[in-house]
Amino acid sequence: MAEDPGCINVPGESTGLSQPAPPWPPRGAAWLAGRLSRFVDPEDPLGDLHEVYAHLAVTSGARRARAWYRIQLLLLLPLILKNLIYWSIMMWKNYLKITWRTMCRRKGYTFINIIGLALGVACFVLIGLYVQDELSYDRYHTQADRIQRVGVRVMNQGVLFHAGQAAAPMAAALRRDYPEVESAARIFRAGAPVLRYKDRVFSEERWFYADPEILDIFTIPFRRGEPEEALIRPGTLVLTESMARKYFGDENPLGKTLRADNRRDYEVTGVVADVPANSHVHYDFLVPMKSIAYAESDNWISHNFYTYVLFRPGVDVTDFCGRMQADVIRKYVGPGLKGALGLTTEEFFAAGGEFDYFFQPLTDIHLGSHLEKELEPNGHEVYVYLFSVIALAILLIAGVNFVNLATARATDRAREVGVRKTIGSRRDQLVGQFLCEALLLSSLAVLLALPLVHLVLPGFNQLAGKILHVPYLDNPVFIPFLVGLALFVGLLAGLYPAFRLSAFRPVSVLRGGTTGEGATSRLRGVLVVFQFAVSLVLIVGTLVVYSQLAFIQDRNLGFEREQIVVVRKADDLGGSLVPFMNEVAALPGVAAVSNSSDIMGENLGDTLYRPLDRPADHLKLIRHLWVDPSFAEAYGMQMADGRFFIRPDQDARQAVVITETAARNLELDAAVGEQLISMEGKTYTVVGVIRDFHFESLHQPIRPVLFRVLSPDGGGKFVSVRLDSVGMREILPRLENLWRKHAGGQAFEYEFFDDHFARVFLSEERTGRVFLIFSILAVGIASLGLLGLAAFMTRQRTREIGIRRVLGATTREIWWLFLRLFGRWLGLAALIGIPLAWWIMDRWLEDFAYRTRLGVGVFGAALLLVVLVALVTVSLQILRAARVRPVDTLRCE
Amino acid sequence: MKLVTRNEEMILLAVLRQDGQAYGVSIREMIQQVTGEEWSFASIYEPLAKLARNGLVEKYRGDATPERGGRHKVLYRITPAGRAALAELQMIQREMWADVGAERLTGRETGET
Repeated sequence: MAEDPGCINVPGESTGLSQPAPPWPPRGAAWLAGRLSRFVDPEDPLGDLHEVYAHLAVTSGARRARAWYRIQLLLLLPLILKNLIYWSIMMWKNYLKITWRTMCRRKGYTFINIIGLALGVACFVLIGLYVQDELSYDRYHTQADRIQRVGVRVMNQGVLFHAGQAAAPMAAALRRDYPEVESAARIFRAGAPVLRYKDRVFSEERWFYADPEILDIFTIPFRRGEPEEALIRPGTLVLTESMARKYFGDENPLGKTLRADNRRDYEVTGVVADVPANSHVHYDFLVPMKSIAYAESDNWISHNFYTYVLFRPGVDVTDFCGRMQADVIRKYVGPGLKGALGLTTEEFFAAGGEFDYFFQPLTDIHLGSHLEKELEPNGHEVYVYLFSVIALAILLIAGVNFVNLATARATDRAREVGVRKTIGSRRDQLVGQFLCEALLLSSLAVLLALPLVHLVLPGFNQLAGKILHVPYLDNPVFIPFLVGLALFVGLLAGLYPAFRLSAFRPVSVLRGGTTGEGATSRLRGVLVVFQFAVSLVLIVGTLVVYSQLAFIQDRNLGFEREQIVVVRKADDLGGSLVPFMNEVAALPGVAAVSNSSDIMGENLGDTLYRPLDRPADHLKLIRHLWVDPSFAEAYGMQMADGRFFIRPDQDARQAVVITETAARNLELDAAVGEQLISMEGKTYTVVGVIRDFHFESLHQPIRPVLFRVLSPDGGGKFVSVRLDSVGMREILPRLENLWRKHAGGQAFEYEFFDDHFARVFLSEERTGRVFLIFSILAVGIASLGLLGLAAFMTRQRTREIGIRRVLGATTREIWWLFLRLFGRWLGLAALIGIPLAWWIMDRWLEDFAYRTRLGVGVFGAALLLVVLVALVTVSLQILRAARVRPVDTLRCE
Repeated sequence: MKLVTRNEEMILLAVLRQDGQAYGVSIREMIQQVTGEEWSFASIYEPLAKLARNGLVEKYRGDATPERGGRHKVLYRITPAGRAALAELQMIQREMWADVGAERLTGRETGET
């Protein structure tokens, strides 16, 4: 401090007195006083303090004087603080006032900026919620990181079976043979019973069989009953809270009995919490695995059980899998193969067979597992990445618009900056001013985004098949995140213009000179190109997803989808099934009625078959269903060769009809008349070959199918009713009447077949809709940005337009002049966006076995759309500017 | 005009009586002489600043002295508005004190000493 010339005035110099220099006050305190003095009125209290200090030092000694000085300074602090706060508030009040005035003066600009940013933020929050939800699947299990699902990949005779399922004895073997395994349990899904308690009857889809060990592996909190006693005794079950309420209301469900399909009674022994939405499996009922005899099977070849393993901490799963596989194949699978195929393990592998187990981490199942027979349609990692990128891109576009508009306005406000600087604004005050404006706008946008999110969320949930909500309090990061986002976007958008604008030299701007327009205009161009490229990618994405959907929808699936009503659980009718069907067939408007064990869109069972004259290792895995002779007619299926089953004797029971793919698979050139033998050793005769049809999603190539004939008294679970001259809704009451007549109290369950089958394509359809929303948003935001930008560019060049008009330029020439500039940017955007879009969507389509062509049309349409939007937006602005009478624009100078 | 507070009144009077030579130290000294209390600078600056804001006193720059570490004094003098405020105050006080004699102050009416 003593060296600071501002604080010292050598006594001799100023007054020339010979009096000894007074002792200096304590250094630290004096320094502090010096720093803070500008916040006190009178501006410099140091002099007064110093004067008394010097006096005290002489009269009472330096020590007391110092203490006094410090105390005085301390007493001054509240005053200093008060003033400090007062002036900061005054400054911010001023910033806000100026901000408000600027906003009011340029309402259009402000509106575009806030709406654009709000849309961007809303979009970002929405996608953020979606992505977070997708990533949160199955993490609610406390032991989630130690749980894995066993799956198997079997290649036999060129037919692949690849599923997250294992054989019935696997769980027990893992528990018994391996110390690394803490526990293992199976889940099995079979059928959807109709449950009854007193007068409450419902059909239940989420009905699962489970080993009791599942309660040690998954986190399943019990609300009532003892977990130790649950899932052990056959004839009992555990249900979720909402199911308990549905059947029992306020009664205590424990000990009560639910009757399933009027056949079997189940006693309730426990009530568990509902399964969170973000789980890869949703059960409403858990029934002891012991209830089904098949669960005790020692068949190691057939894989039907979802098997979950809880490993002890620190187990290397890859290493374990290798050891277990060798072990299990030697001990169990080998003998099984021998029994089923008549091959030794060596012969099986030598013939090109493969048999591999694998483990899937529980938390990876939802996003990473897309195997056969998943428990529920899973999400897709690709979409999570894609949507995250889209979210960021949209936020970026909105932010870019903000920066863009702000820099475009630089020249507009250059004069203001010049005047302010001349009056004595410090640069940091100008930066503060501009940052304050940006931050206020971004905060408003974030605030506005919230009602927008609320507005859109219900619709979005429906589209995406989710139950998302805005987690104000449940998620401790959410509010800080929004505040952070407002700050980040505000700073991002405000910093560049703030520093650019505040750096203007007053002399040059006020004289009307350069404002560094070249640099900002280049940046602006880059930003416009960027957002149009992103918009292009999104539009192309939407178009491709929809054209793939249309492709799926229009594709000849090999059967009819329209005008078919399906009655489920028809097997419950027993002996009344045939009379029921006859009466249905007699209804006016009914074209055909067919009974079958399954319908397209259900998971079909499969068995191994081979032509009778081929060796045993020629077995092929073929999906099968049992149908009556009307099935082909009901679904409009075409024969390729031979015939379908015939009435009245429903054919010999060994007659089968196979698809073209099945014939190819079995290597039969002329299949009709050939004999097949199944794994169980029964022989069949092929009476016809039916045209291939798609019975599952188009991701997989068509797989072979074989039809067997039901006995004449039916017994299949489904009755399909094909209508010709009557609407589906009109026939329903009549169907239900007939059902009641034959089925008594059994619930009538029906479905429209096209709805049922649409579920197969549900995930593509959802993707398409989500894409559509986001691309509309992106294009909307981008054109809002362009609108603002065009408005400013034309405004800035108003005088130029005026002069050109005076000199004889036509409106069209002026229009063309500006359009060329935007055209160049669009061209560049197309150059970047189209290859990118092609690359991304080609990858997406690779996932489908049957895919639409990625034609030029899609890109042309997207480009046309973008060009059109840009053209309209820009033209409106230009034409408006060009129409103004030159007198009005040139008059001012 | 809003009445000034007691502190402000004392400071204003000090400024008036020091004939334009008043500054932080001198005001504080005068108050100490009259009341015997030692005021902190903070409790002088704040009312002083308010008086200045309200236009009752005005600041001007004085000389630097060696004991001030070479700093200028910030001197205060009273403005016409300040004089008017004091005059009003004096009148009010005279009114308020009009009937208050020694016997009342010694507590014959209220019974207090």
